[in-house]
Amino acid sequence: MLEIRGLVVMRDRARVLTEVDLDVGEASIVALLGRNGAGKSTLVQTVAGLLRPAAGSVFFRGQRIDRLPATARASLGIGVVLEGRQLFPELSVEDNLRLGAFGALAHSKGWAPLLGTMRAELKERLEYVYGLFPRLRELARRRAGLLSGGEQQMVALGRALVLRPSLLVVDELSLGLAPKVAYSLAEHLKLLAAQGVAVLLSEQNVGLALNLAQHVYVLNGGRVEFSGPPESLVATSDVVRSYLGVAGRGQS
Amino acid sequence: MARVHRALGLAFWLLVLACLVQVPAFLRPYQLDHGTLAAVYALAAIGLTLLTGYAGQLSLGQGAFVALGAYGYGLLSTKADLPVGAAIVLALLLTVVAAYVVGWPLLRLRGPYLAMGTLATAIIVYGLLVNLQPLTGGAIGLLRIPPLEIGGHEFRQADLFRAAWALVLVALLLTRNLVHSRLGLALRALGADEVGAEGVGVPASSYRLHVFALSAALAGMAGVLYALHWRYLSPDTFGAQLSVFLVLVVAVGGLRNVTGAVVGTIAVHLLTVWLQDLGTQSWLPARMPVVLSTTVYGGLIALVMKFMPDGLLPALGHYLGKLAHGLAGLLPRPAEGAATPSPPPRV
Amino acid sequence: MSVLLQALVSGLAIGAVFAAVGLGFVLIYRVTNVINFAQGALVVLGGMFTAKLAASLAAPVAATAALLASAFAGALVGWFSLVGWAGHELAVVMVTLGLAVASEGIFIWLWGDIPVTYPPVGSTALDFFGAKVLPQQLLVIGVIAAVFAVLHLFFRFSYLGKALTAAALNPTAARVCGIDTTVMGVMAFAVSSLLSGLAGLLLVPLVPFTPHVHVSLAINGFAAAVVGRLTDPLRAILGGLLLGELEAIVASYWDPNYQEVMALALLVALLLAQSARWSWRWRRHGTGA
Repeated sequence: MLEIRGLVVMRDRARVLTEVDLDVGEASIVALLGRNGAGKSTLVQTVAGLLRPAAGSVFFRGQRIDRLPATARASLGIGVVLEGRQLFPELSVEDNLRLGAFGALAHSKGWAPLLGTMRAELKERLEYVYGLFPRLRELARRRAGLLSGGEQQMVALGRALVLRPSLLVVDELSLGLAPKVAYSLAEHLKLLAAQGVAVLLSEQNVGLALNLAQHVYVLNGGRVEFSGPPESLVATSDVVRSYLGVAGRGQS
Repeated sequence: MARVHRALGLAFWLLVLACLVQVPAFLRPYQLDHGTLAAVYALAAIGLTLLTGYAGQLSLGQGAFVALGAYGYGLLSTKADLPVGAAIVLALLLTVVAAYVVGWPLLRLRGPYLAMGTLATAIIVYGLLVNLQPLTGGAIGLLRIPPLEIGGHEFRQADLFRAAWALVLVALLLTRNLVHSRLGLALRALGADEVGAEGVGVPASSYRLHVFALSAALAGMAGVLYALHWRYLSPDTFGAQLSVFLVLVVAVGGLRNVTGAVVGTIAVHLLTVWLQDLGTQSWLPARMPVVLSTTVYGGLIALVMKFMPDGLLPALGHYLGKLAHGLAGLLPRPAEGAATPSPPPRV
Repeated sequence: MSVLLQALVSGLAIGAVFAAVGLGFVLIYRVTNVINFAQGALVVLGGMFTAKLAASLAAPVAATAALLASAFAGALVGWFSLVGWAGHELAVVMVTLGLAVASEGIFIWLWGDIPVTYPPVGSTALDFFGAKVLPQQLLVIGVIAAVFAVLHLFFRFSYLGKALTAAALNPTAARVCGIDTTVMGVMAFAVSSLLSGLAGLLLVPLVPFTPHVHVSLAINGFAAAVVGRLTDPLRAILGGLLLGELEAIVASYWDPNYQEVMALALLVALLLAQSARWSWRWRRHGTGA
């Protein structure tokens, strides 16, 4: 689904990512681990289209997308959950969700319908999200800025899912959330993968990530230091110890 | 190598000085007029470059301080009957004081707010000049302003031309020294990132105010020169248009390039004169001069700030440099041991 | 008493225009973080274009043409200012300033330097408790108020309106939703310009325009926007109305010549008052990827 080859990303003339290769397949969850500053967010933002690589390529379903702006990627079926939720605080939960489909609808239906008549289509998509997150149906009319962290993260996820993405990119799912809440949201990601969605998750919470993912990449200093299934990561104790700062086995 | 550069630099400046002394003999009166006007603008532009280019404070009110200097000298020498020398000094002093008084509240503003605030100030000054008729002569203007006299020698056209440009050169040298000094570094830090500058100990608010006053002083001096040359003042010369013109000049010459400001002034002034000549051709409608100059000014500002935000002249210099580099590559290589020409000294 | 009433009504009319311009500033600023110095020029466009066309066409036709022209011109200004941009915000401000100055020249070339106008609606003044009220003044107030209501509904309830708000609230998040912030920005320019053009064509029968009045209109509109802290539409509208009333009162009871000076002094005072509350930080105006 997603293929990254030889990615180099610069920020203010400093290399943040060097020669990164990464794959995310259908119906699977891939986790991106690494210390702060290792380049995880940069990688996610590049996939989202918020940053342009200096070199290398990003392929989505065989199509090269690294030159496409972020706004075009939504209509291709890439849903993005940004670090720190990044909702539209003054709008209601339902409005936040509905806006998630803007790009997809604008692309497929042209501009005219946007001036008011996409109700049926939007309703269908909203029902899908409410099905996944029943709590959001209750909160539909609330201002998004007034919700708790966990609820906001739900909205952010829901907003990305409204466009029925084939690739879901999540930056720091668990940031600022209570462990229970984070794990509950993680379960939803498992569900989505089972439905066929490809998930790329950048995570600080190593245990959560290892539990969830079928494949793990570890970034250090902008390079991929490890690529493989979670079990072999846990077994390779020196990688775990020095790059992730946790003791070898039994940490979850 | 450095010595060669310095020698060339010195030679360049001596050449400029020589021109200054000799040139007026070759120019006709109206050309001398335009030349002096260009010097007046250049002086004000140098001040604005310091304020807007280096210290990053966008001011759309530089024209107001030119007006203060001009009217200050005019009023002090006619209505107050002060001797010329005293009037000049006092006018400058008044301009600087006004800058501190107006700047102290205004400079709390940032960015576009400062731009609007200074623009408002410029228009207020213009409005006052027009409305305070008994004092300023209103729209009709201030007449019969005494010229400069030193030791019995009255400074006429050619003398004022030389004096004006000498002042420009002095201002240029002084500001270049300022910019390259530690103080200048603090100013540039201020312009780049004010919070950061404060963090390393630059007292931002007071520096901003001092630069504002310095810029106003230069503008005031320009105004005095204007009054000494033309000896007649009317508010229309000092409207918002003057402030916009000065901003254009700074944009064209390069925001952080004092010499560029001077060159930019000459360039834009020549352009203005050419446009005016063009506009008065008999086959064009009567209002063409205004149309041409306004549209070209505005268009230039928009284009330069969009495509060449570091200034038109630096960008041109950059491209010319590239062109020269490219051409040099095409030339056959000089024989071993032959001296390769050194680039012209950075002025 | 009737003098005061008359001043209040004319103040309300001019205040509605200031409010419209101020709202335009707020709209553009919210979506793009740009302060559009050319806002006043678009009011002039609406007014002078209609005035010139009304000599040969029926007024409503001329007005419609002027509105289309304003929206189009505004979109052009927006496009030029926003697209392909990676510069300092100081420079963007200057770009709109340059366009405003250039527009003055273009308008002088197109329509001349003499004040132009076209006949107002209704030929006789109405009597309102002893004050003379012109039907045109009522038209200005009424139409602009109606447009404000429509805009409010648009932003509150329509999908596109919410997308524009979203682009204003969180541009990054908007982009990943597929909301093109540049297109939204140009749209904001177009809507503001439409509003300004409308204000212009409504005002010009009362106050003939020359191409030079764009400065005064922009400054007054900006003052209204500053009351709204550049982001609050309702406060900006109130600010505009208040400013209009204050100027009318100064003109009636004091010296009309000082009307402009007073407005400017007020603007400066407002700017200073607001700056005490929050400070402006320069931002890189980048379009990113």
